[in-house]
Amino acid sequence: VTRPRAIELAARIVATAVPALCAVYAIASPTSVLYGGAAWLVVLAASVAGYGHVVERWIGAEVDLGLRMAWGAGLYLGVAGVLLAAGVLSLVPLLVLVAAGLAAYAWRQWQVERPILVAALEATPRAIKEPATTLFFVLVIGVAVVNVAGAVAEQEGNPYDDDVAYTPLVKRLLDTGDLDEPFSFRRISAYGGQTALSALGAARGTLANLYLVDGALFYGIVLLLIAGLARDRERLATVAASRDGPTTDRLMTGFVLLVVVLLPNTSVNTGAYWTGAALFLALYRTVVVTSRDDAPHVRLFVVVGALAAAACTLRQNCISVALLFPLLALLARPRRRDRRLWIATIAAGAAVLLPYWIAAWRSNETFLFPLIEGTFNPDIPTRPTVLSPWQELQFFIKVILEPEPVRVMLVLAPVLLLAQDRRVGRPLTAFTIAVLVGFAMLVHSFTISDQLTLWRYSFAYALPLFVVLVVEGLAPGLRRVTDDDPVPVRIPVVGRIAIIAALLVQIALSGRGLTRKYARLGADLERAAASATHPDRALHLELTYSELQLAAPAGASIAVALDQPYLLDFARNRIFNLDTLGFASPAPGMPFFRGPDAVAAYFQGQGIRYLAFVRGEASRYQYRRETWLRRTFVDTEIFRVQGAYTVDGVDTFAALAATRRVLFERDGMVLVDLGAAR
Amino acid sequence: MTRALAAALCLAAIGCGHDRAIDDAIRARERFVRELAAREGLVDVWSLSSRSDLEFADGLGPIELLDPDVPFTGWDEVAHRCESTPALPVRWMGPRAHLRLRGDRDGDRRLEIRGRVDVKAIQTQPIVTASIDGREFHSGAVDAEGYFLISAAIPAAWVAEWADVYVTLSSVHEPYKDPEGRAAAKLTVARLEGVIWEPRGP
Repeated sequence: VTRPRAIELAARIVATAVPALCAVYAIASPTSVLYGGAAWLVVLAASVAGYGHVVERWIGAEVDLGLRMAWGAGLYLGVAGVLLAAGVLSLVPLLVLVAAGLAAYAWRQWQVERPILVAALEATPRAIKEPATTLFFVLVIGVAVVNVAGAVAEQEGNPYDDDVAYTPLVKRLLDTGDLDEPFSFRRISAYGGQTALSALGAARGTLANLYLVDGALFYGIVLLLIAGLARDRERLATVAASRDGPTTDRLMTGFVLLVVVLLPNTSVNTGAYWTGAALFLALYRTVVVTSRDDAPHVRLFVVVGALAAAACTLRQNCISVALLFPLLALLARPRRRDRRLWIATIAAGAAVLLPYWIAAWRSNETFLFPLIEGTFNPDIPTRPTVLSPWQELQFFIKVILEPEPVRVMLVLAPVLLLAQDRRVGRPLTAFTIAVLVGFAMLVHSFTISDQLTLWRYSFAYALPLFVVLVVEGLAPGLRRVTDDDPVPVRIPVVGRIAIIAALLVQIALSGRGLTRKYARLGADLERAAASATHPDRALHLELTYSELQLAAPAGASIAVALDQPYLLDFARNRIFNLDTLGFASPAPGMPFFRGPDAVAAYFQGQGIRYLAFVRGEASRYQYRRETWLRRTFVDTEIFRVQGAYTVDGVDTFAALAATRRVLFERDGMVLVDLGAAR
Repeated sequence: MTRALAAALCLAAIGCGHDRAIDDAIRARERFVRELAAREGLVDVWSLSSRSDLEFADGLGPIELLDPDVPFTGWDEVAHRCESTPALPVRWMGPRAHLRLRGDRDGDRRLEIRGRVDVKAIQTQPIVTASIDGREFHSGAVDAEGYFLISAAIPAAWVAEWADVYVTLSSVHEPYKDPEGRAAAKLTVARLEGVIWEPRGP
């Protein structure tokens, strides 16, 4: 065996063995938040890359790691959707899915011509020759790694969103394989793709790594997608002879990556954030590949349709952009009536989306919220009571003027209008229009909200648009571009200067508050690392929840209004999470402002005999009466309305506990038998 | 393409704005909130809270709960007491406060707006003027302590749809004109302390 052969063999063995060993360690150490979580991150990264390899093989093209992983995530979401619709996406099937991805990953390690470790070794001499560039990229990668570690280590979710809804949805999925929560507003607000992804992070046996999937895995995928966009310019093995324009200058690429790694985190919970950005960036890049004459168009449009549908499953507000972008790209093709491409896109999209629709319908009697309200309470406003067109215009302007976290979006808007995309399908033009229309629809439909929330919701497509404009717009550098130049996007020199200036300004703006961010991140890391050395838990809260649940007969239905319902065993009882009180409930609708007897009769009419709730004065967050009493009068409209429902709800539950048999009460947590008088 | 864009913009402009009618579900919720306020001793806060027939619009800050024992001292930061204890709810206002109100097919209505100006801080006793959809129905100077009270019977016909009420203070300008501004906490020179908007009854 020659030395290079031996190195190659060793590289393949290492690449195959590391994820397998990580899987063993992560599953064997569920209480180790940092090291166990990091090991599981390696497993999940390899698994989605494995799924991506399956897609690659089917298309017959080899793409960069970022795009491969994003394609893999799309395939995973497609498969997970089918299991979710069947109600069997529980822990064991999830682990089987992870293992299947790992098997595909291992298969690739022995198929690939040049193992990734060998490629990395070969790149080392070139990196040494350019120490300044290398140092810059080491810095960027270093910050990225710290951010990833921070996301692995962070254990505090948002008590309003994560503790009450998102984490319980993950727990429900792992326990039962379904997401049937007809009383949950947060369930009705998304098809469940994000929950299916988050469940991957918890499948090793702990819910502690809340941000493992979104903040670590998909954050990494976004960075790899950006690097791939800048470096490879959509080079495919099948069409390797002709790249789609020059590689973006490395310094500029470094700046873009620096901007992204330094972005302030505007995410406030474990809802879709980086997952959305990754899928939209991958969707864009896949549409770009379809621009090329020699690409396998039909199969690529299958991937386009599947990725668009996968993005739809993450958040309802992704739907408009995810549908409009492929539609516009297809319409902009010279052979717009090529039925094969339309059929491929629509069929793949439907195949991914249909199972999520089935699951959503079973849970909330709607597959198109908010257009079809399902179990949502129509009396809950999403728009202000009164809003004049002038006020709405003012609201639009306020939102546009205060973008977050990419604060230079406004400066770049004119550059977007100057950009000329001559590629088939006009990917950048189509994406820009789709984003603008989708964002306008979001703002219009949610004027009761605020600009920070709206930019957070739109992060999934706003960040990719920014990245694409910068990376593709700067591909020719600052040189004059002639008509013959194979550049992806033509922007006048002044526009490209504006982009560079915007990048630098964004870095300066992001610098504010960094010290505090990283001080907190350091504290998170220390705490998470300590979990491995001291695995013992007090379990007081867990035991209280367990005892409460054990006071109800196994198999009985329980409606719960508790602060941490993820501590319940969803497999033992049919649990209905009441989530944000009054926002959603099956017909004829949970009665509010009508007293306790009406509520008891309603629950019993739904086949729910037991009610578990936390008293308003004992609640740690979601059901605190004093907080909601204040918000009923002094907050914005949506929270004034929610306050009224919550105060009525907790008062009604307390009244029920006074007249019905109480089976358990401790620390303000109560289990009531609605069918038995006191 | 240009025509399609123009058509889309026109459609978007037509779709802007919103006005939700008062229905039974809203009435039930608001009745509950009103009764809750009475039970909890929060009627003053409730009176300053937007609801389906009254909207506190521009020229007013959000509700703040003040310690009523702290004197009204203009430039000084106002101390806040724990919000669970009795407090004085106010909305800081600039020289012009905008409210929107409407009836609920329940006949003529009574409008009462109470407020106060820190006459020591601005060293004048401004004239308070109130109008509804351009009809001026109140005008008078604040008293020596700065208090003002606007009280009027509003015919049902005036408020069949949303009507705009403007409360204007004369002689108040820099630096007190923006209660929503960044330094709003320090612009404590004029405030609303209560608004009654209810059917006149028999």
